[in-house]
Amino acid sequence: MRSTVRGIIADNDIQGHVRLLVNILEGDPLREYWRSLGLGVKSFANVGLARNSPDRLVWTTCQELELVLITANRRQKEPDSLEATIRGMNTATSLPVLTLADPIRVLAGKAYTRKVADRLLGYLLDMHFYLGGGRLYLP
Amino acid sequence: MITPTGRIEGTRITVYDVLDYVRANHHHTYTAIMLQISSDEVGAAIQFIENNRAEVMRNYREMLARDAQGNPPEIRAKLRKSHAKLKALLSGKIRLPPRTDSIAESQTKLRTELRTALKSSRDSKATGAKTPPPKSPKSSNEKHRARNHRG
Repeated sequence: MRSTVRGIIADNDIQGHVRLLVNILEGDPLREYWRSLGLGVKSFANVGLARNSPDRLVWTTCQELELVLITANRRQKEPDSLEATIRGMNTATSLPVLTLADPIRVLAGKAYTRKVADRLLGYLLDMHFYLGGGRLYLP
Repeated sequence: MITPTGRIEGTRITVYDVLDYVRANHHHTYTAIMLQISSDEVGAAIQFIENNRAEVMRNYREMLARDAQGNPPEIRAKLRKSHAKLKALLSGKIRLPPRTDSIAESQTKLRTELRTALKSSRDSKATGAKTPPPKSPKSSNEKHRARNHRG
């Protein structure tokens, strides 16, 4: 049974969004709980993924490196889309993909952004609840 | 610059990502910065949306409808528990258990083993016990003689 998450990784199009969320996690009052997880914040470049890597490669890399992918990915109809990859490869111990339900609102609303950060920390603190969940939404 | 499925070539960004920003009336430069693409690519995506408006908007509405559904009920129930736990942590009602770190545990175990080995070595020196001398490797002449002898 998987017991570890080593970090989070932002998809290419929401790196700024995830930076905002991490800033909230690094501040009071969430810092203590965020830091207790000891997670890294990775980028595609950090883990050797190209900016045009297909969804399937991104998903499998994240599973191998035990990274929770945060995405706004909305391609659902292509054969190698994230949806198709999750349908075909997800297992009961796979890490979920966390999708920002409304990426624009994360940039615009302070209260909404805090809610998303709270929810992200909730997922990470209790990741054992969410293994195998496929695509899950933030908030 | 835009693939037939609406992806900006060489990236993972689609015209639907750009459409999010267009609908929120964001300037194309802001959109380009946030999506880490060029202003020309933003322009090409907007042109693609205009040229394929009916199909793009149909797909986009489907995506928004899927996003609006959010998590299934069983995940929502778990999230309520996680949220309650976070609230309890923040209010000081509960505390997190000490973190178990497998690397730290391995390092502690290794240090303990090394300490035990060193102590045992010191003890044996103190009591005068001799450790057997290491076997010396055969010289090349000895090896040569052994090969000829088998020979």
